[in-house]
Amino acid sequence: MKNIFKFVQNWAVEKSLTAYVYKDGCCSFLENLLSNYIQNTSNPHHADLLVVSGIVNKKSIAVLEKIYNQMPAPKYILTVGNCSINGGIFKNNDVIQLKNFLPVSVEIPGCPVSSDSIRQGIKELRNIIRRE
Amino acid sequence: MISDGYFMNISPMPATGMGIIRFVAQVDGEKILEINPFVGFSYRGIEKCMEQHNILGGLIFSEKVFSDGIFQSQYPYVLACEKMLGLRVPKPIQDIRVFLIELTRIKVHLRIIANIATDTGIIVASPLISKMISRIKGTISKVIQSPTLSFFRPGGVAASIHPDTKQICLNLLSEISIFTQEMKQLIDNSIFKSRTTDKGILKDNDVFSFGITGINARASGVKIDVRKDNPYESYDEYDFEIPTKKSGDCYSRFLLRFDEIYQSIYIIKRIFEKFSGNYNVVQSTKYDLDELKLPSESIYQPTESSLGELGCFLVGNSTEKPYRCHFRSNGISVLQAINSICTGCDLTDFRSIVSSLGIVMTEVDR
Repeated sequence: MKNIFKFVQNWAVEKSLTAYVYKDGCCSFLENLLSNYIQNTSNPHHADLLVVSGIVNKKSIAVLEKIYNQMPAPKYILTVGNCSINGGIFKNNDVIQLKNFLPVSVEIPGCPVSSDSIRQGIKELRNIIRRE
Repeated sequence: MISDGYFMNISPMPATGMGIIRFVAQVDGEKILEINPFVGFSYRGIEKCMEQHNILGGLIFSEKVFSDGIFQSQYPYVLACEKMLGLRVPKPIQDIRVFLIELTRIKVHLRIIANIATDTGIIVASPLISKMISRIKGTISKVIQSPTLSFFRPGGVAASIHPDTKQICLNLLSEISIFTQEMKQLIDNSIFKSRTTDKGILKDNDVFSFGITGINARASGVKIDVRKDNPYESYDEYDFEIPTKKSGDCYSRFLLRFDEIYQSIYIIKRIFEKFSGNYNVVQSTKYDLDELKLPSESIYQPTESSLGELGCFLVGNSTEKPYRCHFRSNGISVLQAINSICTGCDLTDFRSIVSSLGIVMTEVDR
């Protein structure tokens, strides 16, 4: 019985993903691309998914942690672009790897990210949610 | 700094194009008494990265200053390198650069107009303008026949342009001029006027004291334009006008963006009067940029981007890498003045004031 409830919950979350986009950097076209697959919100209380693009530094990690804590469970993080994964071309500077601080579900590499890889990444995220 | 009272945290708020900014406002009911911006969320150390790379490597980083208008952010760095190295750029290549810069200017102005319209409640304009912006982007990528990244190079451009550039661009310009008139009719209604007129007034004293340039200065009656005051490339050949307004409010900044678009269309049409697209670009730009050494001198090169004056300060020390590289952006000056602009405004008007100022945080933080 418990498994059935879990299955139904995962199915519902997978089909109704709502994203809070933390857009910081040069992947400016990201919001338009994501809106083909996921609906956006400007309130973290209504979001299941935190999408991070651009670099994460010492100042912005505190903001990201606050946003993540405001989101209701179950919650997931999707990082888009090389900058948010390991700093990309700025990795020699004071840039932070997000996965050391918050649980990242899926990383989409690329500089800049192609529309195909975004589609692949969201497909993988949906698979992860289904398998939980 | 804020002493006491009721604080309101307006964050993390995406600025006009990209980047994150945080405002902390002291409010009395719905009236803003004091507002302080907090920057540094988009800091990447672009200038320090450029000091660790040669001229060609630095180009990649200069694009990230303002990646919505890639050509505009490369331009001051490219011109400064050319000035330092004494590279001569042929006239047809200067024309190619100028028309690409003006197309980018139209694109950025349209994006800011869409943001102003969305923030004042006219949501229908944004998808229409996004369609037009993607049309301009498509035309640029069709014309230059190569990736937009690193297209401008010290000494010229990376590749030859399309042989039918003139016809393709003139078709696009006629579309843009009809489209902008339609958009003006759609957005500029009585509701929009009531939400923007006499809101967020920037006084001309503040323009001088904070060093504000660009559209924000021209909307307050200060006639500053680097293209006229300190002409670079072939801008002195085109007798375009510098539109100005006097009131300095959100509405005048909105109208000025349309006037600037008409001026950009005029400049591009003037370029195509004498322009033939069959010029062999690759032959004229054969400098080996990996081996060129910057002489030990310093140079500041200003350019007029759609956000204001964007300049590059370069210091060389007889090596391939610059000893010091620094960008001058207009956004940081506007953010310093935002307290005097927004004091006394309603909270509901704040979003439209910020979008009309055209602040891009990636340009401010770098």
